[in-house]
Amino acid sequence: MKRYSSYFLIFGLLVCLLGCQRDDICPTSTNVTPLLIIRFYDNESPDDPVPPQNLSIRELTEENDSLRWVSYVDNNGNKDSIFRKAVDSISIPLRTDSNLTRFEFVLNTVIDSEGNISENSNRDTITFSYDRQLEYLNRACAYRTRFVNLKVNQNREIPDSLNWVKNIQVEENIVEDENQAHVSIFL
Amino acid sequence: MKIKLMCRYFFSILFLLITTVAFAQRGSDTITYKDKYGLRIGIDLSKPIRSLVDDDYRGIELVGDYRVTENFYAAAELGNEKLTYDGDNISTFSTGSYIKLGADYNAYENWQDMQNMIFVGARYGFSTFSQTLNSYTIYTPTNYYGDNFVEENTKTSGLNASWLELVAGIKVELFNNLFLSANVQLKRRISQKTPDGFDNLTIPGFGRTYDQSDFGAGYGYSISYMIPIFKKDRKPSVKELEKTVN
Repeated sequence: MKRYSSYFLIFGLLVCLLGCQRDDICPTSTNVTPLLIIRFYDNESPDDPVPPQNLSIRELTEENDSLRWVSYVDNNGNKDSIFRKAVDSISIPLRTDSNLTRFEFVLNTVIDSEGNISENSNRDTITFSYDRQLEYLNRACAYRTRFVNLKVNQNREIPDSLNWVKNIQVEENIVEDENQAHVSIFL
Repeated sequence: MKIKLMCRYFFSILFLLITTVAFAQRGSDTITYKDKYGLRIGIDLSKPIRSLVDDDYRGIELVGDYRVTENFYAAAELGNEKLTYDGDNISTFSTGSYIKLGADYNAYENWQDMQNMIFVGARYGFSTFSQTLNSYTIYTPTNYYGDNFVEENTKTSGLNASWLELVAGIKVELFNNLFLSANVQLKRRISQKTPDGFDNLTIPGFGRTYDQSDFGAGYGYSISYMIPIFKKDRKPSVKELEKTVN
């Protein structure tokens, strides 16, 4: 009798161990929906990375005029938003519920006393359009989106000197990971 | 019609039972015991109870075994289940039927006239089912746009899975020929057909699956009735012989 009960204990323990296995938390290492990586270069010498000064980015929607700067969570789990940045490489999220995301890229961002973007800031509008592909990851993270046929379009102001973004080039028209820059912007 | 047939069957079995009992009484002996051999059929109690308590679950399972030799029983389970997986980011359910075929080995040595079991067994399980994807989120490293929660009801039919199962449990005779049984099951999936670009998150008969492994676990709690078909002499064990000598 004693012999059998020890077998039962081992068996029960095995079953319990299996039941307690956690697979419902999405690991941070998972390749979920990628951010779009943009690198900035000098338009005069296109091989030289150059950080735009006090760059801020927000999504432009028809009704929304609030100052909600683009935010994301970096690889270390820290939340960061693109407000008055001076880096030569940025990551921004694309909409996963629409084939189009429109951003306002604000150079030399200054916020006036009323909380609006000052007239001294240079605002350029850039539209990203793409097709979306849904990919199943696992039960914890559910699905991710893969962006294909990426196209970039800039609403150019007249005269042309008003645009701080001189030229845009798509480097990778498939956005499926964050290993390299997808878009180059020349200023 | 079916019920009529079943009744007739039941009464003929009953008749058989009465006659065997009569024969058994005539040939009683002090040293050799008679063991009952027969077909034990029953129902899993845990599944209907869970169906009542848990809105996301519906299930029924018929259980049966047939005593082949002194310690070996051919065993089978037949069931139908609706199993839900409701995670943080995804919600699915599967419905379907399954069958499990295999054998149990009784490792318990009974006293005379007792038919209790402590058993281990093995099963081959096969399930055919459909899975419905209720809703999911598209996971992004930002909540800048808010959660992209997609509700849809995509049903994929014609899915299947097969697995091997180890069972361990006890069967206790409550009243004459009426048994209560509890068991735990450890399963390993052999094959499965999943929806295109997706996974089977639950499999009727197998239970919930795990992303990183083919293993699964389950339990059963059933009540069953043994229809005795014939009796056979049991050789007394060494222990029992010693007792009679003393």
